[in-house]
Amino acid sequence: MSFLQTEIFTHSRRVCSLYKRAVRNIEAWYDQRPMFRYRAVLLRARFDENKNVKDLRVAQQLLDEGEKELFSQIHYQPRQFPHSPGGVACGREVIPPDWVLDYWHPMEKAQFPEYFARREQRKKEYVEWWEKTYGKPTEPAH
Amino acid sequence: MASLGRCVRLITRVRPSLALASIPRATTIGCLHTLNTRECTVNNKSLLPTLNKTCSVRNYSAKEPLTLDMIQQRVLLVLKLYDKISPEKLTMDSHFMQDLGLDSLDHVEVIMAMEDEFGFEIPDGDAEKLLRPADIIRYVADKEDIYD
Repeated sequence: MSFLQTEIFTHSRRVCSLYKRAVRNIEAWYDQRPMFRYRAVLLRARFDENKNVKDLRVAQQLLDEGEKELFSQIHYQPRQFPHSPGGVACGREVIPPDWVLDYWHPMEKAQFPEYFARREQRKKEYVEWWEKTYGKPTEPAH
Repeated sequence: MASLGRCVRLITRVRPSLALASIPRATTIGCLHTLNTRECTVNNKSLLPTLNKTCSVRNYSAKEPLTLDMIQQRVLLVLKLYDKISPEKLTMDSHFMQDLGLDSLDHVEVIMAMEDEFGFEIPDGDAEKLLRPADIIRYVADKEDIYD
């Protein structure tokens, strides 16, 4: 089901995405900062010389060639930030959803009376807001 | 002595940055250093006099403490260091494309600099909406849960 296209990306968005991935790729290959900056400036010059192409077919073709070139030169172990998908800390800290708090034992809830009182008030306000925006539900809640 | 200093600096540096923002970070590196250190006993009595050598015991990979003010200073510093932005025209609400005359690829470079500075990735969908420094500061504060 991953072939289903759920979002439409504009051409400029795709070009920016390609540029970002290409610069990160260069950063992976050249670990010395001055070398990396030199290569990044050269890449930016390559992008800039095709900046004013008006014909979208030519632009699309350039984009496809760019994607192929990036794929052929991608680094084998790119540097990723810890919390980004594929990084070391991705999914490490799982924050439990909010409704879990409703399942606490009353003795545990009694330890934080003000918070839970405020929570009940917030839930009531939310239900009122919902019914004002979308109307009362037709079917009874289970 | 120099190697020990280098080793301590490596341990207390949380993430490599572009050698920027050393001013707001110096205090936090200092306090990380003093929390997890102890005095090492010097066995080698002949060459060196007794120096107070400290070495880190535990190195937790924690983030440095951030406030809204520090985020703002860091963001504005990174933007001022970018050579396509003139520091006189830069304010909190200056639009990148309209006021500062940046390109969309320049905007991508700015977002990448922000990612390197704060150490987390900003996805493309969020990045294209961050068009003012105030937006970037608010986004970073939301992601890092900073309210003051």
